[in-house]
Amino acid sequence: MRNEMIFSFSSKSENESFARTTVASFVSQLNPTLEELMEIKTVVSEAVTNAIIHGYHEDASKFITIHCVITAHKELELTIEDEGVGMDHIDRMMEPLFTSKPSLERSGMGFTIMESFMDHVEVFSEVNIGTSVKLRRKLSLVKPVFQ
Amino acid sequence: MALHINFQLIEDVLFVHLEGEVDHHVADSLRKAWRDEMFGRSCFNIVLDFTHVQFMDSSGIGVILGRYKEIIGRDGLIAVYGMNETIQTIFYMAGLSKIIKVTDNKEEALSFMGVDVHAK
Repeated sequence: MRNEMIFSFSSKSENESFARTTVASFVSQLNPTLEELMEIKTVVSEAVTNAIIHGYHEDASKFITIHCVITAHKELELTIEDEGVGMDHIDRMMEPLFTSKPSLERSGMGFTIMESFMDHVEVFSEVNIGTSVKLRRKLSLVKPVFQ
Repeated sequence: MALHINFQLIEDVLFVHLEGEVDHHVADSLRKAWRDEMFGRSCFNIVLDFTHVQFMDSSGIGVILGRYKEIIGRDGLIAVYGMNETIQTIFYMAGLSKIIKVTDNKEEALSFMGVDVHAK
């Protein structure tokens, strides 16, 4: 059965852990493995951190929205959205080790990690409109002992 | 989620014991504490203890790479132990294993640093 959740929160670094933990709790109903949960938490953290640092330049008055869908085929679809500055060279931004903020010691690994841990990554962005990162991942279907 | 950072000096090796989650939120305080301790003691052989780290994302990679750049010019080395499977995947993905020695435990990290663990 399809299940959905949407939540929005202030663009503050304190909320990075809240965001990844909340998504992980929602995903728990699929009985994911511990490793799958860890990987999902990591990609949420990467996308949310990008929105805070690059989308909003750490402006805490702005909001980030996460849309989580568990499809009828037990696939996880995540959309992480901001209404920040956007970007116009998405391909370059997604290259491993690319960072627009080397002075902040950003590693430039965010999108590489998202692409490795998810089955599908799509980025939509428009300058001064915002950025939306869509992530999809099929989870292993281990039969639970209790349902 | 807070990150607890404890330092321990064994001969000329500075142990950085981490406990909690390493993300962008704690990156600045980790960077500051690590630099203060490292430069304060002029000790550039570092062992990172990840035994009690449940989570790390690319922000943590950035902090480690930043310290690596400060250490190489001073003949320092970095080793790490105790990483969980996901953190290890990220670590290898970022190419950190080429510049930072991944060891199985504290003793192995110490012996990589040239400290004779059996002499104690």
